[in-house]
Amino acid sequence: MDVGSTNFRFDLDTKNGLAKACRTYRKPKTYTLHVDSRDRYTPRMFRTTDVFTNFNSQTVSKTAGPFMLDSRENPGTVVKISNQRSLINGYFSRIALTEISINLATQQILVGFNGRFYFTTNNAGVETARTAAIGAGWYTPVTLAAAIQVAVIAAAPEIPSFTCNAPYTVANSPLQFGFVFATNTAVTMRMDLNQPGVEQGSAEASARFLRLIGFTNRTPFGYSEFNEGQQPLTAGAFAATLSGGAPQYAYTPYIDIFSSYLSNYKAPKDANTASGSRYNHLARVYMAECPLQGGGFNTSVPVIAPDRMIVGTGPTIVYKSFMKPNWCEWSPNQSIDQIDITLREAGGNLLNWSPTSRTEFDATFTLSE
Amino acid sequence: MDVGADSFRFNLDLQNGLAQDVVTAREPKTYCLHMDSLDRYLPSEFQTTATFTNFPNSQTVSKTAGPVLLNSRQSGTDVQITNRRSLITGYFSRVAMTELQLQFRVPTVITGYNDLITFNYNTGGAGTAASITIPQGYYTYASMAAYLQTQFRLIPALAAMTVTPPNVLDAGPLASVITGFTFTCNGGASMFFFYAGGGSGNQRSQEQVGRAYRMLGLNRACLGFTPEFFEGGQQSAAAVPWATVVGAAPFWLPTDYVDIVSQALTNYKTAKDTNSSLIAPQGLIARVNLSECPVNGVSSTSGVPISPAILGFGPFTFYKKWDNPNWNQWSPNQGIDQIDIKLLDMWGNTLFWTPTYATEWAATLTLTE
Repeated sequence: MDVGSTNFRFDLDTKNGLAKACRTYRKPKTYTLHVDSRDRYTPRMFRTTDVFTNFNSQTVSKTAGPFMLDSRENPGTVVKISNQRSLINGYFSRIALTEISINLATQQILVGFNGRFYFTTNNAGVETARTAAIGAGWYTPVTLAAAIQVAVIAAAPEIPSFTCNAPYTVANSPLQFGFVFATNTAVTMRMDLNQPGVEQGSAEASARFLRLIGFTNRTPFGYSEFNEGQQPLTAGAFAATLSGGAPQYAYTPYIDIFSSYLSNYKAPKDANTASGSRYNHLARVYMAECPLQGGGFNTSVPVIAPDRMIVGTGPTIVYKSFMKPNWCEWSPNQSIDQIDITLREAGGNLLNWSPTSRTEFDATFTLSE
Repeated sequence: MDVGADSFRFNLDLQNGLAQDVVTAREPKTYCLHMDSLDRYLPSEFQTTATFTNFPNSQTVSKTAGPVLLNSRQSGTDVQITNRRSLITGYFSRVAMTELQLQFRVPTVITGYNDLITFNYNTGGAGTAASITIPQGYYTYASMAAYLQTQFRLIPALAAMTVTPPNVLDAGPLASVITGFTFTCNGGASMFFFYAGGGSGNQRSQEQVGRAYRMLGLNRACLGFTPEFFEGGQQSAAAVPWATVVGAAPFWLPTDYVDIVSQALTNYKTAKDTNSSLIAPQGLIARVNLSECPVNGVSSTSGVPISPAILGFGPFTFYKKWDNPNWNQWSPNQGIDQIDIKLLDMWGNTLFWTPTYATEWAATLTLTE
């Protein structure tokens, strides 16, 4: 019982008879469940060995997990948290993801994912199909251009003077805003989307790399800038210089968040417009939505915050507060004893995770009556 | 059955009789459809050729190959997404665009759009009309001034002409800030800029000139009109040539905002959204003001913007979240099996798109009960 509740009451607004009849409405009661993807590691998953002593300490397990446990079974991008107890107690009718902070450490270039591209050279009429491979890692525009240059020369000895330039300003002319390939010899070249006989995975890797460096325009492939007809059935023309469009350095332009468990009681399921749409698509975090702070990535540029365009040239953290949360229906009779969250890139693939490139997240779920 | 549900109840707020009469209102259940403009390219639209292998199950390949191989009229600024299935399944009464990420790739100068300036110069005798066509691309103030100066100097009477860019961005602490381009004829010459008069010229060139003048920030003085503040009817007096003139602050973005139009999403709205222009497009569900999103910058040596003040110097990407979404009425009986989204510039035209200057977007639609 409230102490003193019967002794006084502030009712100045009513006792003089001037109060208007009105109803007050309020927001529903809310409860929050704060999730850390590293909480998937619990002490019971470990045992003491010659090189590790286990304790009843999740601090130890959260840091030891990436070193000791199966990397494929416990990535930070396919998380299932179950602590053998209810994660939050109560009777809830709605649940929504209201905040998320993703420590995006997925490398910009990954071998097998986007680390290759195809081109053909023409040496006095002799056409040779080539494949260039880019090593895994993070690249600035300048270092990526250097890596491409090395990779092309290694793949195509017939163009030893090949150069690749990152976007640059040109005096007295429009900006060169895309990468520029130049053979610098009589030998010419053209880009290929893929080549006959390639596997789907390799074709997709090439597609992703071409998108990353902005080679999604027609001219590097030997076609006219604008196509008003059908798909060309013949190969494009060769040229000594190829210019791309604006690069998109990020590994993915957005991160899609899926959860089967949290979508369980939704009558219609969230979706996307991809032809292979996956349901239970709770939310999307856009790479451009988070204002970034940080130092310059180039030693000649001392302390300048990175532009959103070049998100992806290094590890970053994206944070999103959902202004209009996606309120999922929930059953009050159903306890929340586990949560599954999956992070995917724009092509629908799982966001890459490795013990070195540890993408992890923290999220807040809001539950209400 | 809930254990203990009948045994206790937390009703402290009720039992003392002091609970106020309030209504608890919660947000409706929501569902999300996440869109990507590149999802307009489906694998079924391609065929395998000698230089391209199609994979019928890989939209990753088709999203990259689409701009290269398919008809360029399938632009990212006039999108129809239909996957021959319902894009999201369920019964919905409201739908709204709640988030948008726009990869804005419209250059500073577009051929046939804002690339023409017309002027009249003389050295004492009768004036001579001339024009300069500016190549398509991204420009800084400095590179634009340098290009114009070079072109002016090709005319013998203007061989000493100078064009000085605004110094608002790099004016030192003691330097006066000049916000417009400065044109100085030198060599005894004078000139003025003009619109084609007397019924000459055509509508398209007048529009080109008007947009170019807006871009360069030309004011009444640049057109040879005085005084600065005009209190008569429409100006009809002949222009007075000047030897030197300073324009107003340039508008470096080819459009101040992007209007988003959708016929499908506004189908069930009894009143249609629109704007104040003469052509007043129907189904205008949202407007994105290009200045509303803070953009962090890097050095211009990498070809990207430095500050929001100079948006338009290079490609940029931004994100918008609608705090107050435009909730469109929808029929629960109607499946959402296709979506059309068109992006318009501030002149009512479909936003410029080519495979090299490929503006693309991703967006979230929120649907409710």
